[in-house]
Amino acid sequence: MPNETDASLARRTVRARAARVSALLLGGLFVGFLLLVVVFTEYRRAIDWVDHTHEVISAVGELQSTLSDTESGQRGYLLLPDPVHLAAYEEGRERSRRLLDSIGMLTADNPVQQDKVKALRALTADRLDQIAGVLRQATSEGLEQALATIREGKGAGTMAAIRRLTATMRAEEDLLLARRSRHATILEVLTIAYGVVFATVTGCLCFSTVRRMERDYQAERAEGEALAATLQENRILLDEVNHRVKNSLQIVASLLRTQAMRHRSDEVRQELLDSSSRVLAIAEVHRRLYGKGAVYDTVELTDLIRSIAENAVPPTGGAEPAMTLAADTPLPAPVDTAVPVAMIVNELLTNSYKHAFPDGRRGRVTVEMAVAGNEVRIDVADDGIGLPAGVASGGGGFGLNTARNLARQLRGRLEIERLTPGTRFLLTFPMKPRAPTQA
Amino acid sequence: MKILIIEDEFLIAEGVSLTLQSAGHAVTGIAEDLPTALALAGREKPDMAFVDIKLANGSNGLDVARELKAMGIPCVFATGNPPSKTQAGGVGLGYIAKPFSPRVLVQTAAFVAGILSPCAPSAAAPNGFVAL
Repeated sequence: MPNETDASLARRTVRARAARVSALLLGGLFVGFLLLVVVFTEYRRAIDWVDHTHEVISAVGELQSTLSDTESGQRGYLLLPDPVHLAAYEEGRERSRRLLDSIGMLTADNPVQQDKVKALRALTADRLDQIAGVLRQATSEGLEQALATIREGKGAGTMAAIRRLTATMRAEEDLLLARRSRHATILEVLTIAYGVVFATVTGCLCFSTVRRMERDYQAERAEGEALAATLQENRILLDEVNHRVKNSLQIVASLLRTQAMRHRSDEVRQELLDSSSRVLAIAEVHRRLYGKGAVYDTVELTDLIRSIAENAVPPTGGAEPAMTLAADTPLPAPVDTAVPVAMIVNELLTNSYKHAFPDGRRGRVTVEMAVAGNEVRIDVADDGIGLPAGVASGGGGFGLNTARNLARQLRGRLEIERLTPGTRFLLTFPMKPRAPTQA
Repeated sequence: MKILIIEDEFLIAEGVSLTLQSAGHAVTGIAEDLPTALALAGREKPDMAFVDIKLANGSNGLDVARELKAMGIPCVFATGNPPSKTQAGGVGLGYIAKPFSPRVLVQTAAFVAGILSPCAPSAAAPNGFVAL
């Protein structure tokens, strides 16, 4: 048993240490997870910046395209004065304004681009005004006048300036795009690598934890099975010992009885029968200590005394005992009280049966037991021929003297009263009734 | 009654025998194992048997009781290891638990006599006898 306890203790120590390490590792994993989240978030932001740059490039391109469409509208109107071409101009104007606002918002973080947007806004406004002027001239002054204004080249110059400006803006955005794309790629690789490492470490940790728990569980199970086997062995051993004791007590009682029945001397025969009876009285106590539902250190006195009283009656006749019991509740007593009580009651009863009814005289033996507070009173009385005076006042044979000594052992007393007719033995002793312990 | 005793502890068997004889019964023999028990039972035709459970030479009292029941001989177990109803399987009338007093032994014999013979005075099952 000490080996198994030591193993359990060692395992508990290891388990506690492993729990601390696991807690640290879990903490580390948690921090690692937070870092992974941060890296991933940065990666997402980098991707957003790349998309943002594409949007700026696209908006700038679209502005240029819109202005070209507006110029086409102007040309179309000059070729064929159809209000449809004017609508194209109006639409282009409106779209240009929105695109400039959009580009302004998108490049709000870039002061260099912001200056260019301001210039672009001015140039765009100029170009649109120029186109509007030409269209008005074509309507009011005629086509030739409008064409003459176009030939002046102001509009072409403004458009060229717009193209140069949008080209520098696009170049700036292209640089930004390249830088941001690189940044996003690095973060992507970092995220993937970190994710793989994190997953690997987590997986390894989980695997080793599960394996350790499995090993622990198997060890505990094995120990539990070993303990259960030991317990079962002990139970079998206890049953065997109990059986041996019962058999041995039966052998001793039987041997004394056999010897008694073969002895020629009546006196010796009676002594041997008395001894056999005493052994059986002790055996009654033993029978109640072990077995189904028994408690190893407590005996119920009422039932014990009933058995002692019945067994004390000679097997081939004699007065039948009349027994009055104590209150309904059982009276559990410790074994070191039960044995002397069994011996005393057995002595008193066999005494009555031996001496109170000579020559076939019939009579009655009564046994009463009562409890008052913590004092137990056992009253054995017969209506036989009574004890000689000397015996009642302190004399008597081996049995009666044994009973007196056992009463003293119980810290009680044995009183003898001569009745008319018969004798009364009153045993009183203090006892604190014990609550039965669980079997 | 004629009673067969099946017990491997000689001192116990002798005590039981003397007690039953002093109560007026005839003891037809003492057997310590199954073969001896069957031989004695076949030859002496007892009215009943007191049977211990743990016997010599690996014999078991339950097997003995089963064989005797088949021969029409009722058994009462006299044992320190009382069998359960399930274990006894209807082969014994009951048991008295060791260590038993002479009174319980004699009263049990009288009780069985009452069961076996309508003419014999019937006796109540004594305290200490447990029916199976």
